[in-house]
Amino acid sequence: MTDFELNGQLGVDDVTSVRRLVEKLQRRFSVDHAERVAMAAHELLENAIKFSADGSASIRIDLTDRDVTIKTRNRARPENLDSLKSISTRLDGVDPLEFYVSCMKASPKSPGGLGIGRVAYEAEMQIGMTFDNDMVEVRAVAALA
Amino acid sequence: MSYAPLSTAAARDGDTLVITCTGSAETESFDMLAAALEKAHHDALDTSCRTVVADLRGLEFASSSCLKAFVSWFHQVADLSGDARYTVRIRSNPRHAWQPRSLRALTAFAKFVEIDSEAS
Repeated sequence: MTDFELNGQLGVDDVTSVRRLVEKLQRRFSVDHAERVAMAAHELLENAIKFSADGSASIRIDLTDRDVTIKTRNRARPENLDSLKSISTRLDGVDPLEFYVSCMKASPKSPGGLGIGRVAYEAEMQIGMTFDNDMVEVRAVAALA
Repeated sequence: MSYAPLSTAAARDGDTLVITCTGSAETESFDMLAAALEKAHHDALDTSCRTVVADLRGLEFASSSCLKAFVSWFHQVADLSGDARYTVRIRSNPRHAWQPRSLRALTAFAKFVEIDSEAS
């Protein structure tokens, strides 16, 4: 069941609005769950907008009886595709806290992956990325308590 | 639920500098937060502060972009040599669910940061 969906030309102010709406919608499960999923929606949508080649991005939240999935999609410029693929590789199989802290230890000017690391560690969501030419889809999945 | 924008204020208490952050640190607030932390860092060095307290009890949310401002500050403190390095203490409010999680990770990165957790 799709719980929430938004796509189009989105800006940073839209990210804040989406986070607040997602938190409100997800509170029917628990406050803790709502805050984690809302934060994850914020970070993933902000990344999708930041990495978008054409200014457009989409976010969708799906629910099953067992889990919640956040999906963001955007077209990415080649240099951003490389960066996202690198993050995906670094994240594969690593402890979420270890990855998150490694992002903090990187150059303070460009700690790439901090938002993704935050979703993996703080929101306790499983992250996956798929690439189809310049289209990037990021998925974050969390079990429903 | 209030959605106040980020506000920062600095005050001196003996050899301690207190920077208080309240509201919501959205991504658009990054420049403001980074400037406030940068100023606190230089004020602490210029006046030989022994401790800088970041009072986050009223900070309802911080985006990862704003967490980068804290990460950058901690990099600067970590780079200080022995006598110049001051203590960083964070006052946190566990009622803001993001704080225990984010601060746990930040202190795993910057082990010199001390956390005072209390309700506001």
